[in-house]
Amino acid sequence: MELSPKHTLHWIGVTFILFPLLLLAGMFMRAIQANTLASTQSWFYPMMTLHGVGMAGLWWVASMACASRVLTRYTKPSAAVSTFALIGTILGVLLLLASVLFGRFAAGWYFLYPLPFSVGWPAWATLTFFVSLTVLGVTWLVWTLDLLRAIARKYTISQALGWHYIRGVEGPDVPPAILIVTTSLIAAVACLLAGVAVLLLFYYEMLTGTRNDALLMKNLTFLFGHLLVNLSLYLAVAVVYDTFPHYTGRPWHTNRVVAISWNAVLAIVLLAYFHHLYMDFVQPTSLQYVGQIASYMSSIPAAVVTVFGAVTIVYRAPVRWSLGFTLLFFGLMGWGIGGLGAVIDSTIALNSKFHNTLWVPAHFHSYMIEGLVLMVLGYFYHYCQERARMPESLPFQKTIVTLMLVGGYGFLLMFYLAGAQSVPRRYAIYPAELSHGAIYAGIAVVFAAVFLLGLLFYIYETGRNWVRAYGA
Amino acid sequence: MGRDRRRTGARLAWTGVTLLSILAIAWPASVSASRGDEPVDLLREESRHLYGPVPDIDVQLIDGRHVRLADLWRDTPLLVTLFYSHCAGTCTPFLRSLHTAVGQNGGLGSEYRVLSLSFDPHDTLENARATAAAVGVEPGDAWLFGTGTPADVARLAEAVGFWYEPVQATNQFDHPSLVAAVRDGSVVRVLLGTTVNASRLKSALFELKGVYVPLYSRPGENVLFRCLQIDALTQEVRFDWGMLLLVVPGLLALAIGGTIFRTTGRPTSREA
Ligand code: HEM
Ligand SMILES: [Cu+2]
Repeated sequence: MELSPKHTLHWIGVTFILFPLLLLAGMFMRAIQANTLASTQSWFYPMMTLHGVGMAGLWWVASMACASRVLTRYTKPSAAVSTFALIGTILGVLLLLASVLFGRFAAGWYFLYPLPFSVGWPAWATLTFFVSLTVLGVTWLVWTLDLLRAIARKYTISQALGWHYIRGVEGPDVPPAILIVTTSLIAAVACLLAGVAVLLLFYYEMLTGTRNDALLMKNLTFLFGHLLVNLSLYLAVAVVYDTFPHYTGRPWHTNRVVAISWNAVLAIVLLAYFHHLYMDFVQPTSLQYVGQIASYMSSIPAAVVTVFGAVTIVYRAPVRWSLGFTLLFFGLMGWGIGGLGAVIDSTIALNSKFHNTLWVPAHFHSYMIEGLVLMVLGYFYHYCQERARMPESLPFQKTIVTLMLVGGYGFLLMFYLAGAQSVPRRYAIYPAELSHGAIYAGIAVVFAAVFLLGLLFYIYETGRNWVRAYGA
Repeated sequence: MGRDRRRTGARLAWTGVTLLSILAIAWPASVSASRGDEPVDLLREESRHLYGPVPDIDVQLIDGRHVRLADLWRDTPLLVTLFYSHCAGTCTPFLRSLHTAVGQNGGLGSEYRVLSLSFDPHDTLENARATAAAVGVEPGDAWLFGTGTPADVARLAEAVGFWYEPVQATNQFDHPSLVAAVRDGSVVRVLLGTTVNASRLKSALFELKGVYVPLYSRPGENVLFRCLQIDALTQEVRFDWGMLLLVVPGLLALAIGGTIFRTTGRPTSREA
């Protein structure tokens, strides 16, 4: 059976419920840091864990849902697997909630070994957290394999990866979305296998008491964690490639440069995560240099080609700046800007200054909030509106985008400013010598509330279309 | 047909749910079983109470004065130990080794103070004074001896990971030996063991001054898939199996991706 509109609408519904809640968890943390909710500070780390895993997971499934929908234009992803993925994801989220809310599991979103074995929470909470990740990891692996299978129904691997463009020989037209999604999904298999491997090692230690090698665990954890977030972005970018022409009326073709830059991503994206281990003195030095070069090579060419391509097809095109297109456009640009902050942080000389300051959450929240989130929300609106065609009020939609941009960038600026002044990340309460951290946190709460307001308006605007599309 | 597929999806999900629930129920049992007979890892034990708060209890010193613990640590950081005066086991030798290690490192009184507290409810100030004499300490403002109410001492013991149990047959207590370093009301280091080693004490004293000393356990022999091996004599570092494991997900992904493309049937281009 083909993927029906309901499959996509279900994922959109899940996002509309989870995103505001996880955002509130983020505001809660910032409020504690601003000393306004100090009495609840013991909840900071459980909430940080919930917020981190929740957001990373939510935007991964949301971009997978967009990619699945885009693939239906060319091939047939399985409806049964989409249902399976939805049920598995909901189950995983429920287990995560139990672990964090009832067990106060608080090892952070990447549960760095051996922290999950800490005595700060009961053993069952740790186990529940791992089972939650196992359910999610296995479910997503099945989903990923199915999308690859769907692509393989239509293209050979060399076509899907656009090798005929690189070699300059005749071949079928391969849309950029196919090229980018194929690249991302193959890397996603590696990502999820690494996740499963690290979970197996954790289980093995729980069962037998045999200790693990901390360096191996950290490497595997970031192979999983870094890639998951990175690939979510690439999937969303693929969706932008596919949706832009709908608004600009100009086609966005794959060409040699586009093919080369995304194949380069596939070749080296598995090595970029080494930049998470710059501070680990036991990591072999050669890998640190590999990490820096791979971080540059796996992001800059693809980003430059994409942003340049986007500007070319938008420039002087008769575009109607409705909510869908505007969010896609700003999302793509936000990805470029946020990527800049990331590239700065992946430079060893700078990382040794910024590591573990708020600069780190600053850069990853940049390409998340103003990149990934906007691109996915833009596509969600586009999809719902295309099906329901409710009338659009452009002034209202401009207000929504303005609120999300002002609120979002204001919130991010507070992270950047604090980071530049050495305020550390992951502090619930700032000590006296870092009291300026609390001031930034307070201002950030206000900006986040502005963003939340914009989001609620967005959910209202898209929700009207969603309800009608769901009923149809 | 469509309905069938959807049912397959749901059935697949439910099989997964059932399997995982069984695992979830079976696991905690085996977890606790395996924890019990695991050899105690010193650093893990010592790290358990790190950065936890220390209760601000009332202490009666052997000169009869009452002081609050917080008044002491507000003044200088503290090394805290617990003992009982008629111990026939480790208490006195332990305190004597601490005395030696403190002497080797210096700074007592000026940079930090030691507080030795009895955990035996029957100990009097007189008993505590006798222990101080046995250890060879001149009790004063630098090294304090004293007692506290049983409830207070129990709270303090719990905060630093100390415990004690009376043994009826011998009229003695079963207990560990440890010294806890306390700065600004938090445990910053715990040293476990029946003697205090001067160089380990030095790192605790650095922590008391607010200098962070990284604390990590060497992985030991019984470790799954190590990334690196180091030759203790030559300091030479070699790659081990763990490093190889890092390339497995990538290679496997390429193999799986290739297989999917190779084995999935494609309609001929004319049909498509
Ligand atoms: C306006 C919305 C958001 C707010 C107010 C917010 C707030 C926060 C705060 C205060 C922290 C802790 C910072 C610290 O280390 O001191 C944090 C961490 C984090 N956030 Fe957000 N966030 C938001 C959106 C997002 C989004 C959209 C994502 C991902 C798609 C995300 C992913 C994460 C992750 C992965 C962490 C790290 C958790 C950890 O260190 O274990 N956040 N966020
Ligand atoms: Cu004793």
